[in-house]
Amino acid sequence: MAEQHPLEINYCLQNIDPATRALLRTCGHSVIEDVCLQRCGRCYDSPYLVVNGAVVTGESHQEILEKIDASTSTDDKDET
Amino acid sequence: MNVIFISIDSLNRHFLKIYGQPIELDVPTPNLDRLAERAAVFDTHYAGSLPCMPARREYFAGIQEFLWRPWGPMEPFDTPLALAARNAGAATQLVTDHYHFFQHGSHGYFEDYHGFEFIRGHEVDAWQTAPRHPDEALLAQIGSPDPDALQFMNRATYARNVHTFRTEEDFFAAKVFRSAADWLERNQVYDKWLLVVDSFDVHEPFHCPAPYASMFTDEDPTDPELINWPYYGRIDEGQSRLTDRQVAFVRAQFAGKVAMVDRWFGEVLDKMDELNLWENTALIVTADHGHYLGDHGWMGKPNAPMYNTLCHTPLLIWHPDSPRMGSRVSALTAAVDHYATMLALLDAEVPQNVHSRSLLPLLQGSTESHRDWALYGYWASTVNVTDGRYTYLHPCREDVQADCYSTQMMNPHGWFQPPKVQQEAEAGPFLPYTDSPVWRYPAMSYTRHAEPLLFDVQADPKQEQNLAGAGAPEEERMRALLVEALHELQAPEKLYERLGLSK
Repeated sequence: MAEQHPLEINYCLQNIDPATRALLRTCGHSVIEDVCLQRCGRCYDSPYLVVNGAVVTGESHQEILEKIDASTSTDDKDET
Repeated sequence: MNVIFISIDSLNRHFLKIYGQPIELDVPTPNLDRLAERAAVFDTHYAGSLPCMPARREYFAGIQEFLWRPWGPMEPFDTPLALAARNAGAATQLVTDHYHFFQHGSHGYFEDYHGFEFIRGHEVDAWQTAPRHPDEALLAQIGSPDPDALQFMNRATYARNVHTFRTEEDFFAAKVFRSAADWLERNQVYDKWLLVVDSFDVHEPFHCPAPYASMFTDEDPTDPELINWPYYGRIDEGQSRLTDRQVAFVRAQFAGKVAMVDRWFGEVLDKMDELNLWENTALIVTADHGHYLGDHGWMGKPNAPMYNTLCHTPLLIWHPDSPRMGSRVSALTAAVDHYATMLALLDAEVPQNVHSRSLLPLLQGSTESHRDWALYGYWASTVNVTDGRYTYLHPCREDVQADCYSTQMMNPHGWFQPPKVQQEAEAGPFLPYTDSPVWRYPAMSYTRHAEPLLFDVQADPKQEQNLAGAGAPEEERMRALLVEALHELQAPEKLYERLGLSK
């Protein structure tokens, strides 16, 4: 299996709960926490993460992480 | 005595000539300079509760709120400045483009004035909805990737708000300070008055009209690649990552705004000259906090250590009868002190329960010192203290939640969002400065650094040499000073646990 490249993920304290915070901190990517990512409308609407500068939304942060990991895995296969 | 209070949001002290301007840009501030020649310039003034609205509860209610709650409304047990001034026989007026006064969760700040002028449209003030598709270059510069989205607080709102702006006089600083000068012109029939001018500039977006946009850069100020509203955070990672070119452009636009604000602030001074108000009017000019512009590798007001870039703020005071006029004041002072100072100047009663200490004895020359400590910080995060010589930044534990105390069920980390039901709330008379019952509910705590930071800001004003952790006796003394300050304010028991401090 190809090694996954670390991604930079910003998350907003308002958009998560303590369990999600623990999940994100151990997800294997480079995560950056802030009390506000200045995306308040998006934040109010749904779970989201900012991945390498782009907003990714989903039903849950777990789902977003799975989406990101699947995409990274596909990219790695494409590269090989 | 009449009082004019002017707060210039995000005005970095180190961008001002009156504080030495130790930066790469030569920013002209002739009007602040001319006020400094006749007024007292305070060299050791500190912010308290941050950011914008917490600072305003300090200004306008005298409560150092960040130990108990975040950004939020006036509380029913507060005595708003305008109400106390009105009760003391003063006519009161607010002039502002600070739209946060009119957003979710921050009511109670404007209602008690006899009049208020709200200049519309700054940042994401929910004002204009047309055109649906505003200028694309500006959308790119302000970082609005999805202008069509109907979510609230979309950055595209700013592009719509300024769509019809053509000249410098259309912009916010011009409207705010001209409105203030007009009010002075038309209201000298009152025996006593209070004018509060709360300018949202120089706050981002750093969008300047000519000539300010090109005053400190050779770049095309409308180049879509050059953002004027950067995200908060480290400039070398994540969504806030910027190139050196982008940082230089942001600094140039910030400097342009400083020059523009100073130009329009001058209209208030001109009006004071014209009406000869210097004989019967006190003038206070300050800022709520600063703004990182690449300093220490940060941009904005992010989860960064609370360096002096953010917390050491400018203060100038004119008082007609003070022997200190035309001199520098080295005594430690704090933002929360403006409340009692303004009430004392207006011969109004200062409520007993507040954390504010009048600067009047200092201004009258009856004392050389004012306070032994100033506390500053954000709710639920680190707590910081200075004695004027040293700054001590104390981290917090993230495994101990912070408690929010308020009569309101707020969104404690989503300040601008609609209020949220707090299912875990308990009610009781939990606050030391009122017998009113309040809600108490928990929220996540977050630190800004893992270990304490200590700086000798006299020897090291840029705070580049951390003295903590080396066994310096000053670290122990400053930690003890922090505990002393918390004890004096009767901070919540749980805060000591969150800070890992014993009482």
